[in-house]
Amino acid sequence: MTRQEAQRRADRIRLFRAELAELEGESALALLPEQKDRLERHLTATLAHLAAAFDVDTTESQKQVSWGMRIASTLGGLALCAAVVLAFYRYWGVIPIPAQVMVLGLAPLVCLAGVEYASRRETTLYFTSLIALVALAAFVYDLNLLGSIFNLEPSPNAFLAWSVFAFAIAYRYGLRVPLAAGLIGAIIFLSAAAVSWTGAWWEGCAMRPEWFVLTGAMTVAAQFAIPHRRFPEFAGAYRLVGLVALYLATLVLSMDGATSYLAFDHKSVERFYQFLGLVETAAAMWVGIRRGWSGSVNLAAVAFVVFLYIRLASWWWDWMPHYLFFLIIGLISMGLLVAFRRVRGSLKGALA
Amino acid sequence: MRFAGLMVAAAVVIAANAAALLSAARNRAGTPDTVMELTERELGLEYQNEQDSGVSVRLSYSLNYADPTPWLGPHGLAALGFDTRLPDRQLPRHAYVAFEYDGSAWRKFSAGRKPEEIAGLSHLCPIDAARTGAELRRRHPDRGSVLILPCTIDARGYIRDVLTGSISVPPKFHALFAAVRSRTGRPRYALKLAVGIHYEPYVTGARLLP
Repeated sequence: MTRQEAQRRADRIRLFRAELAELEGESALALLPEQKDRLERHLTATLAHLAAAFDVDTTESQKQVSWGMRIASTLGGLALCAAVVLAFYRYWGVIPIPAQVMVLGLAPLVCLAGVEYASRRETTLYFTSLIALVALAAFVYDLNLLGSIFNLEPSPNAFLAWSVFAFAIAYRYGLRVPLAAGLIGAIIFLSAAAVSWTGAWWEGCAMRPEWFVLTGAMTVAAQFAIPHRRFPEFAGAYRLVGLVALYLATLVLSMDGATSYLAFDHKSVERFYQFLGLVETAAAMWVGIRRGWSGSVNLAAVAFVVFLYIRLASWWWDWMPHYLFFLIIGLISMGLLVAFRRVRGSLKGALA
Repeated sequence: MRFAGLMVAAAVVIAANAAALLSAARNRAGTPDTVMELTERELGLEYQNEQDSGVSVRLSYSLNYADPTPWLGPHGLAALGFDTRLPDRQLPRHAYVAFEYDGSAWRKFSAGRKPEEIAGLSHLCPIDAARTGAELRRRHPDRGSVLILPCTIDARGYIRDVLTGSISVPPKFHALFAAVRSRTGRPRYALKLAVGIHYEPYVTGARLLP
């Protein structure tokens, strides 16, 4: 059992207890005293075991505190990353180059040791996650600064190195933030490598978002190819990162047809990608609802609305009175609410 | 294997650092492709805030894109792999560019301009480009006046970026720049710039100019 599975079991037990009390209060269920005792002992023992073995939250208050700890861990990680980078900037000009190289090379290794040490001391992995963020930042900064010190030509291989490093940390400790960083690095590397293969300079991938449409879709598809038995929640990270890349790239193409490989006039290209954006998001919502991927559904819903509003703005903003434009947007939003309510109702009917 | 992830992460750090350092060492091994002294006009100080103790200079060049005889014509662009029929649809490409220092290209650029217009301008002018530095050096063997650097060029012949244009100055020369800041007039300093066998530049000397 993973920690996430243990937490879900603890949450189910907590909700079960609350619902049981509700049913007893409504006289819908009456357990015999010995049944109630045995059940209560079993639930208490199970929760105690889960808390001891996985350090899960067994009460609502603990869950809220844990959220606070996760936020603190992320913010603390980001602040430490900034501190490491700025400290080096402050002092690198006064230390000789061999010392600079040594500090840069050792920093990610020392942080890696810190991650391993922290992971052995805690089961919640808050400190592990924080130090892992710093390790990632240290490695990114390491290669960037080596390039600056020795005036090396920029290369997309750095993204491959960062991505592999992030994946190694993610899969070793079950951390989703490094996984997301690894996926982003992989998407950039693959897009840059593809552009290089066409003969152009690799940084040109930023001027041809179609590569990110492709690599974003590949990332979403990768969740099916990789069986995440040890960390089932990783599949969601592949989906979300892939979908964000896909939607952002489609959005850019829908607003600037000049960035496309397609050999049509810019307006036609933009219309095509605006339509494609609506199709992508609608399809993602449909699949997400059927599979119970709530994160993907929410993301797709936001992206759908953004694509729709951009389309409407490109049709109407220039000639329609602005108050009328916003009135129509409001009415469309209400129409979407009605449509989503009908979808929700049909899903409830399917359950019944 | 229990520690596989940890070992992979550590191995990637070590391998990436080793690759970068080896590349830098190979670039600086043997005889440099060029060693040239350039002034503040060609290697201007980059902006530096008080939180940053590093010093870097940026290479600049002079080029008149409106010149009816462009520095890189259709034949040169085609040799880099561009289809000159569709200049707007193509991404920039990597190329090595030959920059001539204080030569005929600079005299052509500065001809007809007032002295105050050209006073602070770089005397480096691009004169040619090719896919490889070796090919370019064969065409321009004068290492004393022609510098070859990696750049990106677009299909219209614009130099989009000098890839190694931001050049870090080693800490041992930083004291000079503290003195430079209190001086007026340009150029205030000269830097000896070497370009290695991979056409990556590095600073090997610095002096104040009278």
